[in-house]
This record gives sequence, structure tokens and C-alpha cells, in this order.
Amino acid sequence: MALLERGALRDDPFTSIADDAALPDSAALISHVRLARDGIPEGRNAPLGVILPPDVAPEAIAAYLPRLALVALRLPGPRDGRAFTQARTLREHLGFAGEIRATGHVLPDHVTMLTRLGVSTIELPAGADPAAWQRMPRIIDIAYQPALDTGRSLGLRRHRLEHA
Amino acid sequence: MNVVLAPPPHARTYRYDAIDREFLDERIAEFTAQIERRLRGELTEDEFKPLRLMNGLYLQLHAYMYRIAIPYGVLNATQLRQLAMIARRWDRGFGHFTTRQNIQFNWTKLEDVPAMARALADVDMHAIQTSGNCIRNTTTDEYAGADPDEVVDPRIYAEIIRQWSTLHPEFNWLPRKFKIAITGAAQDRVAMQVHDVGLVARRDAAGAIGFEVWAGGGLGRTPLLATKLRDWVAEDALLAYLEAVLRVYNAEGDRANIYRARIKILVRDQGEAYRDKVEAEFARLDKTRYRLDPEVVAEIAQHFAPPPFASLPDIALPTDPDFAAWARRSVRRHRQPGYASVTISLKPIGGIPGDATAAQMEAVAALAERHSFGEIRVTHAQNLVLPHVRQEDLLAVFHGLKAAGLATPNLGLISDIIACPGMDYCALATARSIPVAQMISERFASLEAQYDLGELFLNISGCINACGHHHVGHIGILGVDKRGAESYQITLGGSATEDAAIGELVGPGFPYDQVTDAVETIIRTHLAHRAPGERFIDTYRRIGLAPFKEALYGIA
Amino acid sequence: MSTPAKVRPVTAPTVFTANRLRDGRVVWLAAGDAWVEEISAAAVFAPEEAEAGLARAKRGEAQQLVVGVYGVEVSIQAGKPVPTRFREQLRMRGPSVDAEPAEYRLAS
Repeated sequence: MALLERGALRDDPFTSIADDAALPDSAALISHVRLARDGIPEGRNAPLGVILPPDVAPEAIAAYLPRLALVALRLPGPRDGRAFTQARTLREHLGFAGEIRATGHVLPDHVTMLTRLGVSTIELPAGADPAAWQRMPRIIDIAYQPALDTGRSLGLRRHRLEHA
Repeated sequence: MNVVLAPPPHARTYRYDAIDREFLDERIAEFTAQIERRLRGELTEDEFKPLRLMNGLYLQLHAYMYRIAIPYGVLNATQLRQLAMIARRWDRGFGHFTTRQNIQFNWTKLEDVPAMARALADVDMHAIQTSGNCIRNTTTDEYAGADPDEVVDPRIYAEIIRQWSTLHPEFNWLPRKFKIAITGAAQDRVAMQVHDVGLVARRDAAGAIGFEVWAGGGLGRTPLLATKLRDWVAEDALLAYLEAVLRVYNAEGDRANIYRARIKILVRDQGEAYRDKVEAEFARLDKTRYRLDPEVVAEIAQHFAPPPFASLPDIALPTDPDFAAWARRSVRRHRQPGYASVTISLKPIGGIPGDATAAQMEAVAALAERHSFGEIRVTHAQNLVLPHVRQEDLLAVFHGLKAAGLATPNLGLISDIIACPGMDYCALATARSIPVAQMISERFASLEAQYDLGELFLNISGCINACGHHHVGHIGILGVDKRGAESYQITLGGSATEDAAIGELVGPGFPYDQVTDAVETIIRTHLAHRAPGERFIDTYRRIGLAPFKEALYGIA
Repeated sequence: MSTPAKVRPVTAPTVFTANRLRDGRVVWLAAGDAWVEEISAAAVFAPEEAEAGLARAKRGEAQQLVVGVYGVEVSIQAGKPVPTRFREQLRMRGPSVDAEPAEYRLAS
């Protein structure tokens, strides 16, 4: 599936690997259950990503984060905001520096907020018109509170969002 | 950018600067684009609904309903006039003030919303976050800045919370709506204990400002009083602490069952564990990033500095009996000598509680401009306030209100009813509430009888969502559907003030044509038992439910 | 939302109602899949036809004409469909209270 990153489309190098399938030597995305069961194989060089369901606290995978390239979060529906808190926790409290991806029922209207909370990439929903997502203007560029982004201060606690 | 209409020079509403206006313009552009995508079919209703809710647009029984934010209930005369214009131009000439200090228009058309939003922006108003699973309008004391007993002006912090919660990236998709109330006086006029978060602004021995923080109050299907999380959160940690409260809720609130999704369920079910998680999150938050700088507080406080009061003595009020009857209910002491606060009843006998016509809005705006530094407040009891009126002007204000049909001297009495719109308008309702309010009001029309009865808070909700706050009325009425017919359950003994309580159900419900008689029976029972000086709630607390049950149902 | 929570099997003649997308006004499905403001012009479906009627009504949502489609059981009185539920009678008639000021009623 196509990924949206900073307003541009790119391919996804990760392949989802089932819990009982062998891990390939390429970028692999596994479940958190498998991660807890097997850990990260010693000597693995290829990138490893983990799927963190909305009801699992990021602390559960904290020990693995330094060696993970990707954490994939999910919006089960367009109103489920748990991924927003998970992304922030991963960045702010757990210091995760890799890719955070938002998947599931993401809307173009979520993108700015997700980005402000440290999400790096958006997995476009099946059937999405990539051009429409790219065209989607970042209309709102004023923030009224700090998050993970920084920008030029606009007085009080406001700042200008940096555009992608 | 459109020309913004100038506010009255001394009205203490937060004054937008160019950045605030730019944000509002961007927000309107975004919502207008979303509406156009919806009309073109690029967004399904399922995808559009959360977006339009976040912009204050509901779909109700007869039409769209537009809920406009009146931040912490404060507005100026220019804004009120604009609301009157909007009511005339795009609606049916009236608006409805709500229990969260907002205003609603019942006959909105989706295709008109971009123009209405533009008209609101011209007076620095909007409908953002008055619906949806986000942080809603923070409400506060209608006498803020005027109350002689005020310890801290809560408007300052209400504005700070408003800005902090505006399009907060993390808290726009909560399990459910989130309502915050803040008070700065010992008397609770904001129903603090039945809010998701309640804040009591206080001073410590050295005079520094901090907050008592309560969480987990709420009405609806499962009414619960809030739990105190902290006796004291220092001013500069207020926003960090709120982030912690919201973050744990966002992560762990129930998303599967809508009836268990409010924070009150989480607080009740987790108890101490919830507080521990909040404290743990608060402890690890970056205190620098989330700090509320004193400079920011000072800058916002300037917007709420006292208006240029004249140096006047307190004077004796006119003895005209009409005026005196009105003043007894409507005029309130003020911290500034020579001044008073005037409360305007939007509950005419037999009228629709909380409604005002465009002409009435304009009349209030004119009176505010002339006599209250251009400032008006909305109360959670669906009335209005002119906060700063010279005592020497009270007679003129009385006459002005009377001419507009706004001088009913019934504030705090049985006909000062809080009622939601109910099934006449609301798609969620299970029964009508407005005509019940009208019948009760007419039954107790006699002002003499009302004065004798004294303070009585009667609240009516048209469904279990309790937007009429029936749980915390001295007498609460809940309209339900009983086999296709409207049935009204009565609760007694609720209270929304610092001695908060949830009312007790008195027994089986009453049909539409019997509920007024039932209320009369309750009043008669009270009168038969009351001791000298007792309000209804005092008598109830002394004698309990049994005498009322017996009078209504013939059983003890 | 205007859709009632419960979905029961249809046992009475049924009409379909919705809110018009553009202006939110209450409309009823009529012949030829048109949406009309007067219930007297609504297409009445026998109970066994209700499912087909719902499918036709849902097309209005797909065409971005209406939102919140649902079925309303009616009885026929003087040749006109009248909702059996009180809530839907309010939907048909409008609010039972007079909120509009005189100036509005005169002008409209």
C-alpha cells in the first residue's frame, strides 16, 4: 500500500509477516505478540517493525524500541483517537526515533494532528485516491498548544506549524 | 479578510488578535472545504459526521442545529447583535441558550453554514468544538469579576483552557465528549461536581493561585458526582495536569460501549488506580514544555481587567413596587460600590425556557452597551446577566427589560425552569420537555405563591442524556417513552451547588397530562411540612422521600 | 442522528423518511424515488415490501440527496399516511410549541 510522508507518496518497503512464518531478510512487520514471544533475532540487520494495536500500551514494547525501525499504529475507525496518544507516548516518554506509521481508518483531516504528535507516515486506506491525499491542503497552520512539533512562536502559547 | 465589527471598548471579552483571526479563517476554510466534499460525495456521512460535529453542526428531528460557542458564557453587545442578525437572516428569528452557556439555532441549512460561520467570525465567534468527542466549552461563574466574594477570577483560566483545548491534536478523538467547569468563588454556580473535570481556583496562604481538581462527574444514564483528584495543583502546572487527566482517559476510556465511554465510568471503575495513573503521567511530563508561564497568565488576565468603574456610593433603590419585586429576584450585590449585577430571566410565564427572539437579543445588547460596559453573560440556568450596572441605572434597566418582555421576577423560583429542547426539536429525545415546562410555569404563575414557595430549582430533561440537568434539580423531571406514550419520572432532592447531590426517584412516571398535577402535589406536600424559613430542598432533606411518595402514590 | 436505535420487523404499512442533505429538512420518499416535504405524497409500502422500499430509500443517500434514512410505520387516515409513533408525528407536523416570534410568522 502507498505511504504518505511529508506530503509525498512513497512505496512501503515492509512486508507483513504472520506469526508462524519465517522472518525474511528484508524489512518485516510483525505482531506485538510475536515480538513478545521471540524477541528480536540476534544479528538481524534488516529493518523490523511491530504492529501496536490501539489497546496495547506502548510501554509493552519499550524494551525493543531502540532496535525497531517502525511502529505501526491503527485507527479502527475515524473517531478512535488512541493512536494519537500512543504516538505521543512513543516519542515523548519512550524516546522512539524510528518511523511511526498510522494505518486503518485514517482521514486526510487527521494528518496534521497525527504529524504534530510524531507520526511519520500514513498508510493510505484501500481504494484511496492518492492524488486527493497529496492535494489535500494543509489549511490550518496555527497551533494553540505545544505538542511534539516546534515552530515560530506567535505569542501566548501559540506557534506556527512547519509545513511538510 | 473581512472587516471585523468593533466590540464595545470596555467589554471584557477576550480580544482576538491577528493570529486568532487567521486561525478562525483557516478553520472556516477547512470546514467549508469539508462541506463541499460532502456535497460532492467525496466524504460519506459516516466520515463527515465527526467533522461537522467538531464544527458544531448537529442533525436533529427537523433540521440541522448549529450550536455556537459562547466561551465561558461571556459575550459583548456587538456579538449579541450579530447573533440576532444571524437568527433573522438564516434561521427563524430566535435562538436558544443552553445549560453549557452556548446558543443554538434550530433551523440551520448545511448550505448556509459557510456564510453563518463567516458572520460569526466577523465578531470573533465560532461553533468549534461545541459537539463531538472533544473538549467542549469550558463553563464558569456568570458573576465572575463582579461577585464580592470571588477569590480568583475564573475567566482568566477558562480562556487559557479554551486556547489549550482548541484543536488539541491528541484530544480531538476522545471516547466521548469532555466538559470542564471552573469556579473561583466558594459558592458553586457552575455545577462543578457533575462535570468531567471540575476546577476550583483558590489561593494558598501566601496568595499564590492554584486549583482543586475534580474528575469523573456527570449526569445522563449513570449520574455520578466527581472525585477529588488533587487539593492543589499550582497555577503553572494546571495544563500539564489536565494533559495527564485527558491522556489516561484517551488511552483507557471505553470505546466499545457508548454508555460507558465518559470519564466518570473510568474514574468510578478504576478508583485509586486512575488517580495513580494520572499522577504517574503528570510526574513524567516535560514540565518545561507543558508549563503555563506566569507571563501568559498575566497577558490573558489583562483582557479581564476591571472595566473603568466610576467612583459611586451605594444608594437606596426605588420603592416602586413593580421595580422592587423585580429587584428582589434580579439584582445582586457587586464588589464595586455603587454597582450591581442584573440577572435577566429568559423564563416568561408559559414561555420556552432559555429562548430569546432576535428583538430581545437586540434589546439586551442595547442595554448592555448603555449600562453594562457592553458586556453580557449567559448562565447555565439558561438566563442572561448584565454584570456591571450602576445602581442609579437599575430603574432604567428594569424599564428597558420590561419593554422587551424580559423582566419576569422569577429567578431562582419554581417557574425559572431549566429545560432542554426535548422531543420537539431533538432527535435523541424520548419525550417533550418544553410544553411540560410551560404547563408547570402556568400552573404556578402566581408570583405571590412563587415568592412564598421560595427558592426551588426545577429541571426537565427530555431523555436520559440529561441535558436539562434533571438529576441535580430540587425537583427533576425526566421524560421517557413508555410503550409509545410520553411518561415523566420525578426525582427529588438533587442539588447542583457546593452541596451537590443526585436526586432520588420518587416512583413510577406520570403521563403527559398528569405530570403538572404531580408537581403540584409535591409542592403542597412541601408546604404542609415545611418549617419556617425552609426552602424546598431543606424540607426534603429533613423529611425525606416518604411523605412525597405517599402523597403521590398513596403508599409510604 | 435521526435514526431510532431499535430495528424491529415491519408489521404495518411503511413510509421512508430522511433529512435532505443540503438543508436538513424532513423529506419523505415518494413515487419515482423523489423526496418530498409532504407526507401525503409519500409512497406507502406494504409490510412485505418494506425491505425493497428501504433499498430504494437508501439510494437517496448514495446519490447525496438525503441522510439518515429510516422507515416509519403508518396508518392510513382519510387516505393520508399518519405515523403511528408520536415522535414521527412530531417529525411530520413540526414542533408542538410556538417558538417563532410574531415578526417571523408574519414575514414567512
